Amino acid sequence: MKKMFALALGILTAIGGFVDIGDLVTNAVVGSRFGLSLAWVVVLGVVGICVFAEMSGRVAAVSGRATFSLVRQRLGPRLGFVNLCGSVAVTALTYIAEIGGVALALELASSINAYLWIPVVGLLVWIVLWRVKFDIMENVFGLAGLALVVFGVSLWALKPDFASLATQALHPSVPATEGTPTYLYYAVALFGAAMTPYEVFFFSSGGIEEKWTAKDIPVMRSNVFVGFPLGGLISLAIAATSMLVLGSSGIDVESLGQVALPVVVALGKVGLIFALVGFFAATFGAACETGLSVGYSISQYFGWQWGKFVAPRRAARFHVVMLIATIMAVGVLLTTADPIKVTEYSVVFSAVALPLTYLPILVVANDTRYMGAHVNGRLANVLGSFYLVVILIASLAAIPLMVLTKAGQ
Amino acid sequence: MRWTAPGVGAIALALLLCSCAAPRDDPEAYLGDSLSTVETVASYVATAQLTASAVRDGRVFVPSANVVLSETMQSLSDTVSTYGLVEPPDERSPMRAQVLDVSRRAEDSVFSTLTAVRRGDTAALDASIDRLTAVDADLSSLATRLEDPSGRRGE
Repeated sequence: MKKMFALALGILTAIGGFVDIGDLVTNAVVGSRFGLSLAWVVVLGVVGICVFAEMSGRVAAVSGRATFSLVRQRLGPRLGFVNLCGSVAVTALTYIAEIGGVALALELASSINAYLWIPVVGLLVWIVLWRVKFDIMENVFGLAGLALVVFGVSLWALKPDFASLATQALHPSVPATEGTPTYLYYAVALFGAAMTPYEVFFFSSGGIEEKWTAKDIPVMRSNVFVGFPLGGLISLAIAATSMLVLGSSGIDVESLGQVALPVVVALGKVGLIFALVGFFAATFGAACETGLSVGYSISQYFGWQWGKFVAPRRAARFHVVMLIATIMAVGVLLTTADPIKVTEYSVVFSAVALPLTYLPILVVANDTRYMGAHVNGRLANVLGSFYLVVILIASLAAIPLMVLTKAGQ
Repeated sequence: MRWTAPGVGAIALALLLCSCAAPRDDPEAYLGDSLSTVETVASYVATAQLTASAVRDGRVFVPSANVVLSETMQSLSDTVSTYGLVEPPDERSPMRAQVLDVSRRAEDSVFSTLTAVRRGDTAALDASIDRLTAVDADLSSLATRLEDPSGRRGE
């Protein structure tokens, strides 16, 4: 019974924790402009994150070591450092976007300007990172993030023609009002949002925090292979409701408030409460995960004591890194940077940095010295290699497409 | 050919300068700007309409509606200001005046909607929804004219 509860809790938190500010904004933007013609990218991204999250989770469970300590050992200090710089830069950008997202969610609920919330949010995130236990943090925000299921309920309440939605999703084409480069730009952005690098750092380091062993691999796999795809369905529901309510009215999404409008139209105030709780939980949970991921990556690379499983004073440098990252994120946002723009850029730069994260994981998961009998099988390698090619294409195409389309305009 | 650091720097500088804003002396590009502005303004007007209708029907909390409308108002003002700064290639063309006229009416309508929502004035809210609907129709009509200046669409 206890095992079943742990399994269900893991799956539910994986669903609730799947969506972050990048998914919220990008799916709503794409839904309003392209309908469900980019749904295939969400599916592609969700399968990709499942493949690599399972791999990194298995590496953590079997070797007892997280991604970056192995990256340095396997790639060497110089190449590992390049990898560290790229990954940390993108994760820090995502951290800024998530803190901005929390502030926007609070602004939407309170009508108090988001810039006044930013220092408060930074302080709250830091307190959680410093004081709250890992499993409590993960479970509370993961479960509260399930409130975003309201987008699925809204889709049902809007009574769309599901056959037509399925046709649009299964027969993708570039809408007449959009150009092919713009379509491809958003495909890359959506892919970057689904496969954000921090998710893998957090997942593998979380495995160490929770003291996974090889016995935990089945539970870890069920979390990944059931929880993540169900989380992906929330992303699709956001895109579909955005298409039905905003796209049909000619509205281009530029703010978090617009993302909530389809829920308001479908379910009124009750729906809005769920959406606001979901926005807050998803962005706050992701802010904690990205903040931790910055600390994990740097500490693991340099071989410092890290983790929330030890007292903060025993992992002082790890906590200082997170504190500096939090102060930096708040500082950047207080320059009046638009959190939505930061989010849009963060998902594109995530796509650029994807090979830095996923290539080392594939290399380590194939190394029998670390993995023993749990080394990658043929299916994992075929999928991993296929995704590396896709990741490389997305990474190379991201910046040229951004320049060509003026960031999707 | 050898790539030297100063050479790469010069190319980068040239690319940077090319990306800087320049006056619009190309009628096609100006038409594109005008059409894009009208479509963007129409998107903001539609957002305001949807939000105002939700407030009238009691489907949204006023603080949330206030945030959406304030952001819409701000973005709309920015869009109109940006368009107003671009010089048209032909000063005799009525396009600029038409776009600015309907955009400023859109600004006024969104502003009156925001004021009505903040004051909780139901009658004023109904009136502003009507104004938004009228502006939306004008924007749609102007977009059609800009897309097909000869007016041959549908013939």
